[in-house]
This record gives sequence, C-alpha cells and structure tokens, in this order.
Amino acid sequence: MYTSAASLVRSADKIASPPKVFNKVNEIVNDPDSTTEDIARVIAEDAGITLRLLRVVNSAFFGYNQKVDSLDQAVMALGTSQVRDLVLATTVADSFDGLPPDLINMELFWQHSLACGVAARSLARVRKEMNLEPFFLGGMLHDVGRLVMFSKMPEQSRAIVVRCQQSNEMMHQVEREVFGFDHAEVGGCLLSNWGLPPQLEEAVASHHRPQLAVRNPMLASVVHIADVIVNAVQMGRSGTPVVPRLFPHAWSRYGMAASVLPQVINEMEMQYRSFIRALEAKATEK
Amino acid sequence: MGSLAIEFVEPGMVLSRDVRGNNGLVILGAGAEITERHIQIFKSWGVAEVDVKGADQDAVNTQFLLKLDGEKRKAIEREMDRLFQHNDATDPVIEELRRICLARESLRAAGQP
Repeated sequence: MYTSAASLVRSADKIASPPKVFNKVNEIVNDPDSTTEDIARVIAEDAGITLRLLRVVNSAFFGYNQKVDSLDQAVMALGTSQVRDLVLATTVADSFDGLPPDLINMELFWQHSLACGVAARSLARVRKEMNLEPFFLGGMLHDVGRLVMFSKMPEQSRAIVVRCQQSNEMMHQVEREVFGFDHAEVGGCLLSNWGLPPQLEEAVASHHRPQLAVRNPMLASVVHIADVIVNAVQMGRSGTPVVPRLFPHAWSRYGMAASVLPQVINEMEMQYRSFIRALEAKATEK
Repeated sequence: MGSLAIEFVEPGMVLSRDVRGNNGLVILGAGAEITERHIQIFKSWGVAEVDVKGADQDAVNTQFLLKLDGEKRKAIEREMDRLFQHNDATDPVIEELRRICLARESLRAAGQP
C-alpha cells in the first residue's frame, strides 16, 4: 500500500520518465541555440510519430489551408512548443502499453482524454484566450494518474471501478477514502517528475478541486469544466459512471454565460472527429 | 438553425437553406414551408438531410424527446437523473448541460446516428 501519491509515482520506475522522443524534443525546445531543423530531425527518427504529427497538422483541427508535407514545415507552422505538446499528447499512452485490457480499455481512455483536450481548447477559445495549447494538453493529460494507479495497484483499482459502477459514487472520492489520495494528485506528481510546467501539473492535480489552484486558476478551472462536459456527453469513458460535481466557482472564473455550451460542444465534437480521423487514416492515404 | 435527417422532417417546417438535387439544381428554396409532397420529392431525389429553421441543433433534437413514447422518455429522464446526481440541478450551467445531453440521448433513442 502506498502512503501518498508521490510515493506511488516514485515506485513506478517504468513510467518515471516521459516518452523518450518527448524528452529529446523538450531538450531541444529549451535550448536557445536550437533550430527548427534540430527538432524536425529528432522527430524524424520516429516514423510513427512523424506520421501522426503530419496527419494532425493537416487535419481540420488546425485548419491550415495549405498542405503541410514536411516536418520542417510542420514545426514552422505550429511553433516549437506546440510541436512538443503534440508529441506528448500523441505519445503519452505509449508509456502505459501493456495494461491488462480487462482492467482498462485504453481506446476509451484515450478517447476520453482527447475529448477533454478538445473541450478545454474550445472553452478557452470561446473566451478568447491567446494560447490554447496548455488547455489542450491539460485536458489530454488530466486523468493520466489513473494509468499509474492501474499499473501499480491493479487489483485495488479494479475494485474501485466495480464499486463506482454499482454505487454511482464519484471515483476520486472513493480513491481518497481507500488510498488517502486520488488519481488527480497522482497525475500531478507524475507530470512534476516528468519536468512539465508547474501550471500544467497544478491543473491536472486539481481537476476535481479547481478551487485549490493558485498558479493558473483559469487553466485548472477550464480543465475541470471540460472534464464535467465530457463525462456528461459521454465521449469515451473515464471509468466514472456519473458526471463529476461542477464547482460553481470554476464556472464563475471562466466567466461566460451558460449559453456558450451548445457552441462549445459542437466545436468539440467536430475537432474531436477531425483529430481521430487524422490519427486513424491509413498509412497508404496521403 | 439545424440540419435534420429526412425521416424527421415534417410538414410545416421552414427551410433555412436551399435543397438541391445531386445535379445541383434547387428543388425547393430557402424560406419555403415544407409540405408532405415536398418530403416525398426529397426522398425520391435521395436527399438525406435538409436545413430547417429553428433555434439550433439541440432545439431540433429536443423535439425528438417529445415524440418518444412515455416509457422511453422516462427511461432517458431517469438516466439523466442518475448521470447528474452529484450536481446541483438548479445551477444554470448544469441545467443547460443536462438539456443538451437529454436532447442528444433522445436523438440517439429516436434512431438517428
């Protein structure tokens, strides 16, 4: 039994570091002397990621009107930090390969994460945030702690899923009751170990308690709201069979009228589909 | 404004956009009130969906809820109660979210993809 989210994450050596290619890309992005070609070269070493990245860049998700057909162009068009974030978003699930399928359906988990990412991005766009990527990434990664729990504590995690399905309890509350910490905290610890920005760690760690966020309360609030929306419209599965409680404070901070919801949900569904189509396109298609 | 599958179009609805056949010619123009005869013509032309005036897509969807029989409707309402049980039903944001979800579920139950 683990006494805290941090001790659990420390014990998870296999996932102690983020996907390798992300690490390399991150190093280059943080190096002021690096060039776009450096980044393109590192990504080019991984054919799978290269393909995914080019498809996503060319999808309606970004809506460029010219075709981007080389990595150099993609890095130029997106900017280096957005490329890094996309590399992380599309590779994070790879770190958790091998979780038993009867415990967690990775496809549904990934769909839930992606839906939450695009929902957070749409919410941010509606309130005219300048930089949408942290919102997308925060939504994408918000439940990553659950994967750590599933890989280190499979039996107890399974028991919690079963219990919530029967009782309609909120999963993070049951986790706190049983373990003394929840998947949100575990996710925060993991991202902190991975060296990701503190505001991202905070948004993930507080996605069920956004009132605790101090570094970037807007990011935390938006990720929280996105999770509520995605559980309500049931895109993918987070494992929790109910809509988590919406904190009115989070919505007040968000500062828009409830009437923006239809627009946000429509936009989220369109972006979600274009992203999925981009990733699923067969290699033979251009 | 919402686009509606042809099976759900009813006489009296008003087109918000021209309906065109696959040859590109206008079958019926925007603003026209749809009649039973028009619906048959749309179907014979293979028109899959038309844009009708109405508040928005989920207002259109909500109409399906009203068409569902009592049992199905109750089942959807019960499912919504279950789904939203941890939330404050009087919060306007939750009210709106629940309305959208209800509309989506009704649409699904009415057999639209």
